[in-house]
Amino acid sequence: MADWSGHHTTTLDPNEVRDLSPVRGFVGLKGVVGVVAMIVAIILALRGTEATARFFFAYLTAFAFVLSISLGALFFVLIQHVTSAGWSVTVRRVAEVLAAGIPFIALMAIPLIFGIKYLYPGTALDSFFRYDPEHPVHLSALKINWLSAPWLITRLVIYFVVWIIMARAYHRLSVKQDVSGDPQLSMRLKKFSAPCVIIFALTVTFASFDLFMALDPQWFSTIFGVYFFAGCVVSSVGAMILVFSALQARGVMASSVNTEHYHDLGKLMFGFVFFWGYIAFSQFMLIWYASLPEEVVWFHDRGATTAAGGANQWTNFILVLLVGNFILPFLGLLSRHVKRSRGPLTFWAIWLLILHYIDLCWLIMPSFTEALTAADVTMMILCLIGLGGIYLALCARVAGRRSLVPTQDPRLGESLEFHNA
Amino acid sequence: MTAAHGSQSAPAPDQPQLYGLLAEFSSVDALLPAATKVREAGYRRWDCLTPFPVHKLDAAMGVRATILPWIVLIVGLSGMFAGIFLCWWTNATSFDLPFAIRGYAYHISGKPFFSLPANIPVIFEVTVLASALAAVIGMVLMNGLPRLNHPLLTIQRTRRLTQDRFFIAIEADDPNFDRQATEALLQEAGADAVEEVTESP
Repeated sequence: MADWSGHHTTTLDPNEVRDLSPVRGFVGLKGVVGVVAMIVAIILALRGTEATARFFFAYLTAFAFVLSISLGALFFVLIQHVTSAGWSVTVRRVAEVLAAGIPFIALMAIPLIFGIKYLYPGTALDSFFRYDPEHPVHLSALKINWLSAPWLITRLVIYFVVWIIMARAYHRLSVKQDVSGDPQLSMRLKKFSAPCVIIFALTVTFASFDLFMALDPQWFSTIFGVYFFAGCVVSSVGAMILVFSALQARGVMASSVNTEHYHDLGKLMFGFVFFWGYIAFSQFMLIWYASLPEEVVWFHDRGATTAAGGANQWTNFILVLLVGNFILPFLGLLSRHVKRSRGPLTFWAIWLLILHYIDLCWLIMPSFTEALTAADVTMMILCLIGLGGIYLALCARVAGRRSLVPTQDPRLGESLEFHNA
Repeated sequence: MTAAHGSQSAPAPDQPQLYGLLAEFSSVDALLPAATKVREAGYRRWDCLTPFPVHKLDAAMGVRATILPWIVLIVGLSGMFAGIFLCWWTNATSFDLPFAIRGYAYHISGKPFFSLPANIPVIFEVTVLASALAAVIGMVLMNGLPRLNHPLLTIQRTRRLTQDRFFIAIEADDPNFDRQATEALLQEAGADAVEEVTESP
């Protein structure tokens, strides 16, 4: 109670954060279902060229979904160290685990290399890794070189190596502190956090250019990386809220994560919902206002037009995103009472995760088709269940039998006693 | 500190009036139960004064949720509609208003006169401006500011208010206030000292 003296009397119950067994079966099942779904998707993909292309686009959408959760979690961890945050200690380990799952996402990126000629016209490949000088893309020499397959793959490797080093280091040293209790580890993590945030910003920006903007190589938008980043943060905070909610419903972490932590996670999610809307609109408005052919083409393909006959199926996606990913969650999360109640907050977390997937679908799938068919949707759902389930199960492996809370963090007491003003 | 014993007798207009009672505590651990006691005794016009934010004090005092968010919401929405009106009136109309002010419908790059995407930055900024002003001005006014002095600051004891002492002040115009009974309550609640606070008219 005597908060001012620096002593904290609330202590952590070590049992409630160590025993994952109540959820282990559930997560294992998710992993098995994921593998099965992935196998079915691959079998479907083998039925002709169109099915193969469909598979790679659906796969990229699901891949973007798990990648964004993992990257958002890495950003969350880094920003807690940059700000020396005390409130977030009890929720930080789950974010560290979600981020430390990124080596598995790097493995998931390998199939994309085999789909590179379907996905990225800028590589100008006529078949696997063979450059076609007659390929009908009209790009500057610089862009042709930048988007060429070897250099594209090299950059993807660099991004993943950087992310893996950062995510694993922040997870490993935090776990190490559980054993040694050395407060110097916190200082070390803090020292590197600011440079890591800069590296994170650059890698995420360029990765979003390479993975998603390169689907339409003629189009360009400098704010695109920020747009993807906004979705990363919303979905990762949503995923964290969902994880805590699911764990607490089964008696894990029952008292270490409380209303105050949900409130702050809710604030972050709310803030980044608005940030997403702000960035999405900023990108749209400049392109809409200037109305330059090379810029509007991307929005035109995605149904953002009021021109007669211009609307297509993707127009509905835009309206769903505008209302569902911005207006409704903004109004729904505005109240402090919602952010402080686990049920409603979990509802919005699930809602925003679904809408984030729809957002990625709207980014990626129009490069494949003008209108989704039942076969497309089936493939997308299979890939999402596949990669999502596998990622979840592997993250549970990363968490292992270690504590789900950094038990020796010097700011743990502050976090347990944290109160929103 | 000298005048106005017996609060109910109406004092002369230029005499100092009783403002309330100030009780001093030496620690948070003494303050919190005392605040609970004062709340349970049914006082409404009273406050705790501490050198730093004290957790759980709001709950002990029974502080109700502020209505400031609602004020911000209403003023913010008014700002939003004002922004929409401003854009529509200046860009999409050309009717006359008093004082020779009129809108100027002007075609810009083939867009409609009333074109929401172009107007959203203006609407957004006016909404944010109105909300921010409502939040700051509302907070200042609801805190009883601005004021240049406060009766509590005339008491020597409150010099340690910003260092290491904690206070409960109960105002004399609280309906439950009774000079003797209130002092007895504060003493019973563990105050190190209780002092009368007066206010010059």
